[in-house]
Amino acid sequence: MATPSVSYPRRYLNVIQSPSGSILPSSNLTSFLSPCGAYRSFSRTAVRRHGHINEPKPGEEIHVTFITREGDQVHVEAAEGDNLLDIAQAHDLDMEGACGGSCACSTCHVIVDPEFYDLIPEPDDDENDMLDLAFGLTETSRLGCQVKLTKELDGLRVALPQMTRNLQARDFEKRADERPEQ
Amino acid sequence: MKRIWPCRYRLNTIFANDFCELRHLAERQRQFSTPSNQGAKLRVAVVGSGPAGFYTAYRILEKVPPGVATVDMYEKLPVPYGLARFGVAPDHPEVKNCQEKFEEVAQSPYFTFVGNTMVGAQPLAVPKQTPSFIPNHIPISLLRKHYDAIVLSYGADSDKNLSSSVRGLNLTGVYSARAFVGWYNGHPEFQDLDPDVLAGEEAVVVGHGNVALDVARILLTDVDVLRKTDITEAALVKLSENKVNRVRIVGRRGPAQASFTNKEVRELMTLNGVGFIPLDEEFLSPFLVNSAKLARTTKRLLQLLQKGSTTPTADAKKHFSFDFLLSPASFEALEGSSHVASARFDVMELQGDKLSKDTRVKRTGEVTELPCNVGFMSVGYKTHPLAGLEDIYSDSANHVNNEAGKVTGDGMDTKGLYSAGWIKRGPAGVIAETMYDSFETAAVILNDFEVGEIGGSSCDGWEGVKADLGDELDWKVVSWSDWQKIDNAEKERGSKIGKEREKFTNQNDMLAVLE
Repeated sequence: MATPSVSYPRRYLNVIQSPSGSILPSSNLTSFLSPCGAYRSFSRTAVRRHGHINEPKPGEEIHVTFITREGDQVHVEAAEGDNLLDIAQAHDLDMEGACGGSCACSTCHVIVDPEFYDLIPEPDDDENDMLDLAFGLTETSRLGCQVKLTKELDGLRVALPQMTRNLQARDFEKRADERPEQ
Repeated sequence: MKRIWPCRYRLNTIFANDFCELRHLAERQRQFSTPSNQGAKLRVAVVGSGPAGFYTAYRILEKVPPGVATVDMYEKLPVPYGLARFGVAPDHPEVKNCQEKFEEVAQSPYFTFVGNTMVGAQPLAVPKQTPSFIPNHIPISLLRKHYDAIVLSYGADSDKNLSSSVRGLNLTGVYSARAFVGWYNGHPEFQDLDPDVLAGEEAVVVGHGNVALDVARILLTDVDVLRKTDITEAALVKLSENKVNRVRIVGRRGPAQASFTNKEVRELMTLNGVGFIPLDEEFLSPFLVNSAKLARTTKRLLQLLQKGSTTPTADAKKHFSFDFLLSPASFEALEGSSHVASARFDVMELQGDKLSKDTRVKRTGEVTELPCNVGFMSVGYKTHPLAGLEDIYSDSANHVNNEAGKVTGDGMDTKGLYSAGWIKRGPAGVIAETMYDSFETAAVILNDFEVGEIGGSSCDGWEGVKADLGDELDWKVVSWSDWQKIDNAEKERGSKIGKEREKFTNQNDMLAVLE
């Protein structure tokens, strides 16, 4: 990937991709920004039809670590059967589910720790069709809404990918022919 | 729980090496805090209520403490959501779930919806008033006076014009795919389209993007399946008499250069009772020979095309095909008729790597003719500048000049002007792409606010605009609670006939709910 020549303010871009491909945080979160990145002036779950998660039974908690776009690790305990999108949203992590978790968009794209990748049932055609459109696709990419927790996944680690790499003006020019027409 | 990570993937570098550094930097960020704009307020106008407008508003309101930013969203129609309402196919209800998020944003006390109010005069290229819709205009200068920031997110309002290179576009039976989509989705501007789908069995859709595939799918889908969607009753009546049983989806270039996505191809392949006419060997062979080198998406497309339709071609009553390397030259009518009967194409050839996305084509000199009782042009959209903002617009780029959403213009005062969505980056891409680019625009706006470039003045937003308009404001401005009434009325109409909603397709009918 070429070094971007367009300069743009990075302050509020949570994570950017450096030319070497590693994830770096943006520069300054400022005082009036919430320390965790967002003020919830409206609830994420108020009108969602999906997004309900279960309380894990004592002793049956499944541990999941989310690596946020800021690079922080967030450890949560979740119940078997819940999916990663619902869990992330219930914990106010910065993961969108534009289609409401119905496998019709790619906004809940997560990168799974390779060690756990093979423990998750393979993505079906519908999920792969959406992963085709995900930014920063990796060999262990999945849609959060399609990954349901099982006991084997205890200790799972997933990263929320950066989301601005493809969004510099010149990248759009370059990619004009690759994008689907709507 | 501590785990040792295997060193199989580059990913590990991201995970392992950056953690320490990231944590360290995050700590530093939290200690750093000297905003130059403390106590200031930010008044934002958003022009257009589609996904780009809503995702930008969402991100701004979410990132600042309650009350610091206020967003007023202007929409020319009495109803919100833009292409999430009028573009997304009726048989893709799950894609419209993004409206739940938009509804949440609109519940914020710092958000105001100003519906039935169009910013800027209508661009010349756009059809003027239709019987179903008469826009109410306010000039952009009013917004510039009363807001710290204006986000242009009004999308693309017309088709790429090919009338100079394709003859016969005005024949009966030839339509813009964009108008057809607007028509069956109930957009007030397209209700007088009255597409003639009764003339015969042969349809031609020109274009290899997802809109072309939407049109093909709507023509081929059993109308009883569509009945359960929010497609309009008027469209259902028309489509139930639809005679089309053969759709050719025609593109200028080859399979690897097509813009449609695999999801939409798969949907066509799995349509009940619809068969796919297999591709000629000449198109498949370059892929098969090089299958190891193909990009993931292209490889998956190849598999779809090879596998063909779920309904065996021989058993199907209706059929479709992908036709490649054909550039439209003209639509032709029989002598003495003004109704289209065939479509002529120049046969093209790829100049270079057949498997590359960017490979161009040139004419071979050969011409071919396909039967065509109804034709659709789906060759891409065209954006336009708002009246008064012509200087920030690039006709060739097909979007406003901007850097990461911040509008730029030679010699023009562009302070406070931003853009998001298709008017920012050109009319292409799915909602996810628009969401990310809107988040970027919101980030840029908040950055400018923080450094004191915008904000801190005593802008009074919609209240100020209203006061300036005075008696000129002689139309019904639709508020969010007004829209909720229209929304409920549509759902009620729908529930009576077993649909999720039955849209109002006329401005007057929408406004009548509020009387």
